[in-house]
Amino acid sequence: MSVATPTSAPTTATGTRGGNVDGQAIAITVFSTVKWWGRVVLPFVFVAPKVAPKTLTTLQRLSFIHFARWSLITQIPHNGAPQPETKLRYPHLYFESNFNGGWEEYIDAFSHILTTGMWTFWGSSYGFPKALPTGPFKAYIKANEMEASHFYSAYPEATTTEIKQAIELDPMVAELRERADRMTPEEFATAFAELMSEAQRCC
Amino acid sequence: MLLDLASIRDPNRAGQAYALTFLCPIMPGHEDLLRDELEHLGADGPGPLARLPRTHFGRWVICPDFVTDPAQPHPDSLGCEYLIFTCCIDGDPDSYLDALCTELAPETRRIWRHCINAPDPAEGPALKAYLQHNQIRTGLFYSAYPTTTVPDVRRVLGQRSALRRLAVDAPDLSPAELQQRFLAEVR
Amino acid sequence: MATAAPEAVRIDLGDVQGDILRAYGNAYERTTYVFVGIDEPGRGREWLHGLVDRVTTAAPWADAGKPAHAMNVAFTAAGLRALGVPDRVLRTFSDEFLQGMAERAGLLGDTGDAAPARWERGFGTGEAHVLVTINALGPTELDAALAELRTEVVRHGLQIVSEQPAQLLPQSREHFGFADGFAQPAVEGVTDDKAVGGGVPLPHGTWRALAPGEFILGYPDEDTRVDPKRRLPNAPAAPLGKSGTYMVWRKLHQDVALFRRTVRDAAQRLDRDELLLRAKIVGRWDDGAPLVTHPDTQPDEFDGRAEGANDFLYERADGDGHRCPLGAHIRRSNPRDALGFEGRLSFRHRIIRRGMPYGDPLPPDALADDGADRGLVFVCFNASISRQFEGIQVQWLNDGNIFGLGHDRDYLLGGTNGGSMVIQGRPPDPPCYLAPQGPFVTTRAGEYLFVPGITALAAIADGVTG
Repeated sequence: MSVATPTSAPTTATGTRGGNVDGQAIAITVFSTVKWWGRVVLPFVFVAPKVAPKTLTTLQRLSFIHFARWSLITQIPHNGAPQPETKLRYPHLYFESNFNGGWEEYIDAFSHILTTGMWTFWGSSYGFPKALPTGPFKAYIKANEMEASHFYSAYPEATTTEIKQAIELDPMVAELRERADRMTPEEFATAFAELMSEAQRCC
Repeated sequence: MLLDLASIRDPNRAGQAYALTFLCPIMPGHEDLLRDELEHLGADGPGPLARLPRTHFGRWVICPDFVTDPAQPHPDSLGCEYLIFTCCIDGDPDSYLDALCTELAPETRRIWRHCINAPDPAEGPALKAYLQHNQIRTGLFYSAYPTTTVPDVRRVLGQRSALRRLAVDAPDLSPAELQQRFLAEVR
Repeated sequence: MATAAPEAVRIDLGDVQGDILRAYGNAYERTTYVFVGIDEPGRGREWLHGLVDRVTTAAPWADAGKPAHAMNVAFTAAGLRALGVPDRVLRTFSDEFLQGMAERAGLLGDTGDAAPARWERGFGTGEAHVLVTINALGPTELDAALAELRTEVVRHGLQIVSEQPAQLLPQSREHFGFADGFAQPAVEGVTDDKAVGGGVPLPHGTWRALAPGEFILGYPDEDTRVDPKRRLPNAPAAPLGKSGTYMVWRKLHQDVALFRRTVRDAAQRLDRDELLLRAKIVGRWDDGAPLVTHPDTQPDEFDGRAEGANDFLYERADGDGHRCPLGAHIRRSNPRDALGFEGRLSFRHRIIRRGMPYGDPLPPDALADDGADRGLVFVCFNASISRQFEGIQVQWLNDGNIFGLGHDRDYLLGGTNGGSMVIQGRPPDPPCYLAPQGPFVTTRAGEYLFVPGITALAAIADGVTG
């Protein structure tokens, strides 16, 4: 049986515009306008020991976001004329995510799995329709989303899950490597089978 | 534990990874020129950020204005269009910015020349200072693999592929061949 | 996924076409799919006009039993245009339907030999306009219905673009030899009795049926269930949306000899039982018994339609894939709870499948291709092609990432780049790895279609769509 690895990864980065895609990776960039009380609540949400971590743990389990960030913008740095001196009336929440998979599945997952977490982060934003039902929520994100003019990933064909699996696999492989050259071929074959059995969820 | 303490002190951090966010005003009338410039960055290759090996992800986005939600009592305009530049990087942001402003100077000159009161030429320490002035503090930064650097991500992915290839071939290999190939290929 | 019971919804069965909610494949022996092309809207509508009253609805059959044949009608986007449906009405249909399947080929993995440029004549080109599906009790009834249809098509100056016959193989098998067609989604108000194993698994071991709007437009769907305003899902503008649905039609060629040789060789090479290896690839034994409930041997007798035959979960019973591999075909295409989060990542991606084999079977022990065309006419119904059919095809079958399987494609379908697969082993047994193989299944033709309700069909025939 020939051994060939599929050369091209399948098209899974769907449902978004071309500028937001690099290989399997998709960028989401969103600004939302925050009600006055968000200025008080959001900084607390970001640092409170039990609020954000619960959402982030779910993000880890969902395993399709490489990196994500939230920033609360209350003033715009000024660089002198002709930049207008903008006094913001409201705080604005910046959110970006670097993820893999289809846009639609991603938003679906956000809605159905992170229903409460979404409210925690965006409940203070004007027009936020709650995470469920998904229809109005998707429309809200689409309306607030901006397309990237250039998006870069250092490993565009790798997904979050693959990277996490490869990281988990690393010490197991290292352990066998460390002993491999001192083993007889038969000992090695047994140890290799043990490694593959132990590592089957991440290889 | 030290990393944890560091990330509590600095919300731009998740483990060893650092989130850089910049918001720079675009000179009125230059929006399309800048968009054109940015859209051609990856035209024949992965784009300039590939030359900074500490970059996991990066993006340039032109923000025309804040979206006014129908539920919002008053609009809140930015007054001009802004260039959002963000990246997820390994380690210290200071030296990363040095590298960005020198090694990517051919590109940074072409990009930030469209921004209001950016240094001319837009490169080196002057650009670094300009960017730092326009940096936005992160509220919360999440990473799925906060302790793994770009070279490590690439290494473990390569190792996993090699192991998988070997596992596919294993039934046809003698123990000695299996051992040799493991030592030679899985690293 | 709220568990609160929604108000009872009654589906107007007399307005819904009959082959959506009922599996005619089980009721009728023969099926032929006829694609008709329309040059002139007026003549097309006139032909349709004569058809409307004869289209089979979902209303229960009277005491006389089932009719000798059933007839159902669906339209491609090009077909609606050819019948004079105005652009402002067409724009209310989904993007993917308007684009058509050929336009979505890259996304669907229909590349190389499966690319639209190599499809059968008339498909993916805008020439196929109306699909008339005829199910008949036997060859005589089929011939009679087809003769009548052909006469009318010619009389109205229209063309037959393609005729594709299909028929059940003995024991409800498809050409690779697997019993097929179990595990359809249970639909609220229609097939509530199939909720166990066919609906949505609930945390306490029970199941519930899916909202009808997941499959019939104009009715509440799973989003409506959690929406305090009870907004209905997107549907084409009235009067077209009510009681309609979207249909996916694909002619999938199967290389039976290649499949048999590949599995036989792999079984020898990996020192595995061939029957078990087949079951591992699919997730069910040849007779349809699920590996999760029958992990070691094929049961002597298995009836896939018996109560409880499909009552199983993956994560709870077999989270590591030691019984049914994580990448087995049925675990990918209907993951139940396999994606964790109590099934909340999968319950909005269900389809009603109405596939039917075509072509004569390859003799049982043959290992060489005889050059004959055989395979499966894949048909499915769903309210959103992009969320449901394409979600399954693109994210679950053409890629393995969401299952923790990297870029492994489904081994049974393979596709242009070939599928690959890990068969998990119960420690201390190591897993075994199936290398990418040639394409067992190749798309030869396909269209996205819209199946109107009866009222909507009459409106199309009358030219009063808005």
